[in-house]
Amino acid sequence: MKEDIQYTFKKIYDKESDSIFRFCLLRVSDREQAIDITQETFLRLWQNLLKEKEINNTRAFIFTIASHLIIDWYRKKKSIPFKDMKNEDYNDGDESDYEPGDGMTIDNALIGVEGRYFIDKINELTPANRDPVYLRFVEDLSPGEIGKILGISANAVSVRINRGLVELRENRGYNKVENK
Amino acid sequence: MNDKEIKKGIEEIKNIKMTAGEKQQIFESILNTPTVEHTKIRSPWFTHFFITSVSKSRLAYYVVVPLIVIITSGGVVFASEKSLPDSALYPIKVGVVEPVREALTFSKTAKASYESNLATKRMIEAETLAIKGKLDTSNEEKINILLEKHSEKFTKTINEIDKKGPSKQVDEIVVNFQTEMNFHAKTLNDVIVAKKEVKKNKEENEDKESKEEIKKALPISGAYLKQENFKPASFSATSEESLESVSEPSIEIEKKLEIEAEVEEVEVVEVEVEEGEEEVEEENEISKSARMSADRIGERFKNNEKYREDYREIRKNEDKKSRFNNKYKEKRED
Repeated sequence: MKEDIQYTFKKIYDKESDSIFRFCLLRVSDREQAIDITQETFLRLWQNLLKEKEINNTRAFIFTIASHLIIDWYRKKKSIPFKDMKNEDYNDGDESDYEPGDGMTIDNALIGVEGRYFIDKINELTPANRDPVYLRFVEDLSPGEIGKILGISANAVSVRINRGLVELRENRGYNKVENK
Repeated sequence: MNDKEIKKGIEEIKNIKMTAGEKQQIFESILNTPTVEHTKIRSPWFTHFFITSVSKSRLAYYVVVPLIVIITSGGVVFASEKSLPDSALYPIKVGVVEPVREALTFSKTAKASYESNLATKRMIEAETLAIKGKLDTSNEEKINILLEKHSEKFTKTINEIDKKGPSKQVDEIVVNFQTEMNFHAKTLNDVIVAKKEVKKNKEENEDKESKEEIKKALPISGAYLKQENFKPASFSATSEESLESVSEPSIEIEKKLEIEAEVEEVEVVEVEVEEGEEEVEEENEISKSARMSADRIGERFKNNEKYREDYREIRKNEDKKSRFNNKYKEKRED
């Protein structure tokens, strides 16, 4: 019985561990911290599998855990009220929270210019639109799965993705590139 | 999105991965982590939260509150089922539960049967109180009033049914009522008499013990004091004869006194026997009511000699109760 669970867990881990790591790294900008959060995420998944709890959508489940752990990490890092973490105006003018450049120096060899540019532009998006755009285009999650992770409806996710794209195209220079 | 640059950027981002060593390390540490079962701790605010959420939701309020009332009242009804006249729940039993149950019986026969059962219940309650030694005047009065009420209702219902014509089922109910009343009347009396005897025996034993203690305490046993023409001898320290005459009682006088004491005891016993006989004839009020109710309803059988004979037998010997019922049923079936 436990062997079956272990086999299932290994399959999920092999498939999703890099996605979770990437997601965490872009949010916390610290490799060691991203690894810790990834480990904690998969540990909780392992514990749930051992308890034989039903999981309808494994991808959405592990991304939700990771998202909550990242929020907990921010709360410990700064004593900021939790409601402000979800605030759309949060992070405006505060650059210390997202510093992708410093945290990914080890991976610079793996990321090209376009990758780094895209990450920078995503981080410049409105916080409400940032995660839906990233999860949709980088991690290929569906609007329904993104809605479960963020706790909003699939329609709201679609709206935010569109807004994010508009921002990327009009405000962040991608429109100019397209027009070229 | 068709932008080549964006696509290229996305592909490059997807190259961000953990190293193989890091992956393996995480995997092994997860599998080696001992699983700890977390016990759920109930929030101390749970009750407050439940009450406020229910009070805010109108629909829940109209469902939950009646449900709580029904469950609580069900509990009260259940608790009052076995209550006695000295209990606080007894008024609920006789004032609410029993009338509601009576209202739910629709046929007259069922009502008569129900009243008969209630009368029997009252008798059993009286017996239970008597056994516990709690059958005082107030409880007796309560039970008596209820018993008379049940008997009257029973008689009235039977008379109404009789107007429609004779019925085998009704006759059975009436006979059952009579036998139950007489049986329980006798049982109640027996219990009360037995309790009184136990009490008397206790008192007698106590008296005997105290008398013996007095006897031991007084070596002369008061014999000298009871002597006629007793005069204390004049003491002289030098006169040995006078000392002997004071300390040793004469045997004849002692014997005389003993006989007198025995005579007194016999007289006392005779008086007690007389009193006991009077007590046997004097019946408890509840038992009296029960017998009178049985007699009253027995009037319907007065024209039938066979039934009258059987009825007298019941009065004399309560052991025939079950035999009579079976005999009656066989005859009616014939």
